[in-house]
Amino acid sequence: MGARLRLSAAWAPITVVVALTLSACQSMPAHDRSLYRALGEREGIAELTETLLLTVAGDKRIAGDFRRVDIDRLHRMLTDYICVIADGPCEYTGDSMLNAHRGQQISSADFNALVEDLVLSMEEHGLPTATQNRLLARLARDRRAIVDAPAPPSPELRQLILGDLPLSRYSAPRDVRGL
Amino acid sequence: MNSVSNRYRYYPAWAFALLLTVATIAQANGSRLWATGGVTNVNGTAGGGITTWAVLNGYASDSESTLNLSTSTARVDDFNLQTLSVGFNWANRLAVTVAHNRLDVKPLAIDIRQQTVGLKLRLAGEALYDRFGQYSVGMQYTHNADFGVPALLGAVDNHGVDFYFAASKVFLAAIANRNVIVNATARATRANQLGLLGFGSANDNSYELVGEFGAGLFLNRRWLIGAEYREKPDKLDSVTEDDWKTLYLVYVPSRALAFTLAYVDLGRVAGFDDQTGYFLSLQTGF
Ligand code: HEM
Repeated sequence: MGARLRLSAAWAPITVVVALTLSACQSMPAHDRSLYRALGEREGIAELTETLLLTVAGDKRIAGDFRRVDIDRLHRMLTDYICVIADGPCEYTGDSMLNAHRGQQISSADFNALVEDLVLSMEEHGLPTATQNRLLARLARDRRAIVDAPAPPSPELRQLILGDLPLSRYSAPRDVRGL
Repeated sequence: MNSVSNRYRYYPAWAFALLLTVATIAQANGSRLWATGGVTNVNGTAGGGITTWAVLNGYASDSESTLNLSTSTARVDDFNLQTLSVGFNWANRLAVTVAHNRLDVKPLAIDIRQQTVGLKLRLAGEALYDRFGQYSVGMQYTHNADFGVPALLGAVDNHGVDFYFAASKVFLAAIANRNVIVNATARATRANQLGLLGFGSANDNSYELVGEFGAGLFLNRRWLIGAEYREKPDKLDSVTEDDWKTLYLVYVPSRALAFTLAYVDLGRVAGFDDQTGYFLSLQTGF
């Protein structure tokens, strides 16, 4: 049975070109503060993350993951983090996305649930679709680090490799950090 | 081939009503972002109205499973195509779908029915979050239950299997900061008009590779507009089969419900020219 190729010469390249153009747009760095401003600057972001944490607390799917977390710190860290990725004038002093979520066994479903809660929170704050999408596009890049982030190395291994070098607070045992 | 009885003819109407009722009671499952599961196409699998996408039906993610019910009607000048389908999505990895099509050939007052069982396997990627999108392979077994007219037109088989490879990618904040979905599918098929006119022909019975392309723009998380193009194999000597095109609008009020309205242009179908009209579908999931 000889397959007769009829994939139209025009459509396939068009699709590829559209796709590549879109991914180029997506990775274009934004040098302005427009997203930061659209989010209502640090104050607006802090209000948004507060709504987000309250929404998460009421979300049966993932609320349990945050049960014994220092919520004040998380609120501050999350606010600074979003401020920074929105090109705002903040400093993020927390752990990397990988370290912050190590060993938590966050599934795609958990991640999706959090994104959904974020979208609902943004809607509650009346942020327009464009602003929502721009923030989501930047957060989406972190998914790789967060979903199924591997567990931190054991204390023995860390001692062996790093000696007494202080690492992020994630080098502390979970019970010390209040988890 | 049956002559169309009126009682039977209007099942889309009560199917719509039933699914609406189910949707209002249903507790939607799954966590993937709204509208990113596509809708149910005429083959019963996730896509636009006529094309197949790499996404799996419903909103199941890695640790979830979902069930979808869908009904649609396509009305063009000389035909109505009614579709009822059910789809199960296991952990956003494997989707099993069953679809029933009924084509009413209005000028001849006959109908042609067929059933399709489909499998779609997500090979790699996630349409929304992976830079290079999502890739799936699938197969569809279709059995034509009213082979009289297809045989007269020169089709050789009343059943056949399609194989396809599909790629989908959602670009966040891509055009005017709106999200965009792009799909491309390569399909190996011997089907004449989805199998409604049987499979293959005496002179041309080999598999043919055809493409399906589509793009959609999410106006917001509830509304998606787009266009699709589906190449058709055109194997019968007696009648010409043109490529299909649609312009569609999808409304997704919740994960439990999706409405699709489309303008369809099916070109020449079974000897009737210039078949244009509309496509309306309703999908519910839980
Ligand atoms: C785009 C998505 C996400 C972002 C941007 C994000 C961001 C952050 C940030 C900035 C911190 C603070 C790190 C620190 O205190 O140094 C944090 C901690 C945390 N995140 Fe996420 N996160 C995301 C998704 C998730 C998901 C999906 C879950 C689970 C369902 C999760 C669970 C946690 C928990 C439990 C902590 C506290 C850990 C601790 O204090 O030890 N995060 N996250």
